Amino acid sequence: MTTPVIIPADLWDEDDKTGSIVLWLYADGAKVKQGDLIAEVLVEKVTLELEAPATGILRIQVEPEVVVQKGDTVAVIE
Amino acid sequence: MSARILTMSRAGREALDWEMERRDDIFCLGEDVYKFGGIFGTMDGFGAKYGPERVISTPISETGFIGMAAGAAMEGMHPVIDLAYIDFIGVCYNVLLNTASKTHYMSGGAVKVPMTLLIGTGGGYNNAAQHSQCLHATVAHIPGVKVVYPSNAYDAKGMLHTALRDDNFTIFLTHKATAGVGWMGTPIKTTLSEVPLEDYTVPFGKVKIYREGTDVTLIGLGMSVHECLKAADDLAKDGISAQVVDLRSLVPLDRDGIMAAVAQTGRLVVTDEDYLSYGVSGEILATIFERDPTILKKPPIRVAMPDIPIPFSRPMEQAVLPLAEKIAKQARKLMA
Repeated sequence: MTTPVIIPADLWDEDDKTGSIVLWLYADGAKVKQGDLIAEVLVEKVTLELEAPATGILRIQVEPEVVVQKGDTVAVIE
Repeated sequence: MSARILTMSRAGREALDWEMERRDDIFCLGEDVYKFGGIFGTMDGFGAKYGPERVISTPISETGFIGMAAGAAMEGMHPVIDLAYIDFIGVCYNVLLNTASKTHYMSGGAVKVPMTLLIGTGGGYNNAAQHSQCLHATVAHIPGVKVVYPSNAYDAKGMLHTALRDDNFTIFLTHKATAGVGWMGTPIKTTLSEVPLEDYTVPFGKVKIYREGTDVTLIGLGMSVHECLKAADDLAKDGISAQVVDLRSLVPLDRDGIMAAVAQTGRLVVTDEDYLSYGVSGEILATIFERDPTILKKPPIRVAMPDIPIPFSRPMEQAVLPLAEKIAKQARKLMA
């Protein structure tokens, strides 16, 4: 079973703003636990936090510096 | 669970949080620390967690609040101060130079001044002559203060634990480009480390050999360590094996470690983003010449900030910074 890691709709306020991953706090293929802080997302000058929605193996799909929007899947957890 | 990869900023925050949870002598102060959490987020969220008595936002009055911190330290507290950028030390230098650093000695050891001053250094992002300086030599020159300068997340956490457990005054420097805060750009990979969840200390006064090499030694501190690592990658393409040494701590300075490293190659490029004259790069060369210049096969070379105000213009600033291509060029000269 896999759980997608999605940029939550309420991570930042304005729907028309985009962000980007600053860094992944775990390597691709690392074990993560539900609730772990796994990535930082930058929107303008504000750094926001992305938590693991499930426990399992992290498979990163979007690298840092790529533009992301609310609702985008940036990784999956197997 | 797998080891976590942290930025220097997050690693430092973890150390400070761990100590504050267990000790009520530590409190934070600085401009905007309550809401903003310090220039690199070292105190991020601490206002809400620890309250306004332990996380104090101050007016723009460095002499006042750092003087206050020194007084609190003498009375048994351990203040942690966020001074933002080192360009601002001019407005509180008397406290650093004459109060926080000298009281332990002048009281015959009766009065301790346990305080930790967090300061950001350096340029590279077009912030002009008054917000881009390193000035680490200007504080390392003061007798009575320890000055440390981690360049990666593992060392940042361990050295901040060490500073917070020290009985006297420590200046804890972080180059802005190494901190790993998002608004400064994507974190540099070599600043990120796997960082243990539990507390640990990294002792002051030991160089770190970042990369082993046999042909030439590249010495750096703060951001210039990462430029040395890039230069070493480039030199490897020509078959030149470069050793990269991170000073990590300016006071105490690991002179034995420097001698041992340089003796392995006999060729030395010292890099420093602080001004060339009267600084750390000269101190390293003086150490070698006083102790044993025969370890050198060639005269050493310094790649440092020229003695000029740092330009705002990007091409002009890039031209004066100790960047990897300049370091590699000088290393190649030593191999010729």
